[in-house]
Amino acid sequence: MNLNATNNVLRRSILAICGFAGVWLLIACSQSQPGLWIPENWKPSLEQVREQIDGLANQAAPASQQQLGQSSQNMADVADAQLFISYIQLMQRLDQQQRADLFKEQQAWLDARNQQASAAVISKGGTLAPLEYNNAFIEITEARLKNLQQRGGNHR
Amino acid sequence: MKLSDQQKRLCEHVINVFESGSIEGDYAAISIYADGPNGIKQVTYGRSQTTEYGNLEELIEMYVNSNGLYSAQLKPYLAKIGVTPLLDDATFKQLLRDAAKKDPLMRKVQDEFFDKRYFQPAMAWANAGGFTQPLSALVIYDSFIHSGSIPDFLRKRFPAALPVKNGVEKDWIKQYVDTRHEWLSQHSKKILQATIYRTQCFKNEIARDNWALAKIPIVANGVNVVD
Repeated sequence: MNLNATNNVLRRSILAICGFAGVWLLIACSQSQPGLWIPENWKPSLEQVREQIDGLANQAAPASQQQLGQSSQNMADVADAQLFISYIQLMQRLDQQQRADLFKEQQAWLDARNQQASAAVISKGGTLAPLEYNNAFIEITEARLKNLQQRGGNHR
Repeated sequence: MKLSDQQKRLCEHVINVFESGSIEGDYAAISIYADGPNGIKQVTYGRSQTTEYGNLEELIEMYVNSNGLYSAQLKPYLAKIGVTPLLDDATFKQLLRDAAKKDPLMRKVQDEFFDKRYFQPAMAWANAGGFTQPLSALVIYDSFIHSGSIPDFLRKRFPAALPVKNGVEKDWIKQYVDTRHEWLSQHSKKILQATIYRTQCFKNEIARDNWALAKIPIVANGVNVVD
């Protein structure tokens, strides 16, 4: 599968997963009492998509800058989608006050992520800049993902 | 810095290969990156990529004023670019693609625009630094396209002085290329390491003493550039 085909599959996967996750979040938020809305055995995964993009970006014949930029954006989008899923999974296990606290915490964290990722860009307007931004974005998002996953595990 | 038409064309074609994989460059390329103000996603367009919240409005204005095939359809967007997010506007993106693919005037306007935005500032920097060799022009132009400038933090990592400060031009370029190559190749992120085909190309040309860019083809990321 070439890079463009993979990118299309990836986009569709992210849209589908985020769409389902979004619906569940809306349902969850509309409930006055906490409870489980996501079936325990439903665990959407983007790991393989992520590994595939990563592999394509690092294949023997190097991709063009445009392809590398798009791949890095796709990896950032996958990481963000994974975080979104974990956030919803954690949210559904909390009581109302905890949900309100997590919402505020996540809002502040999103602002901080943008500031930190922007600060990591060394290039001044060149085509390398999106790669630098996305790499920092991915690193920061992965750290948050681990944190939310751990907290989700603690609430089981 | 005086480049012949052929030397300038060679520089542009090598950079086109680095950026898009093709010698002609991809004038219709559209990417969506989250590098807009406050991390919002934005449209990035054209042969050497200009952004919705950067200079895309200027490029489209140049095209609209040139009375191209799609000028009338793109004109209403001038008031929106950089104001209203357009990344989800399928009509706008299709107009940009169609103009680049079907109207030679858009390609001409992009050439003029990117020349003004990247090539001329790069050559101004080269002239101010006292550089004269065509290969130096290529290396400096590439840095402006890739990093937006000659990054200060890299210049601090090697001792060579600029030619204008009595340094030796070939020493400066060689040390800059080696330093940039080392920075990219040892970057903590593999995807940035993947971009060393640019500096590897320059190292090859330095090794074969191709300072006048007279020895062709120049192999850029596996593509033979002959003109």
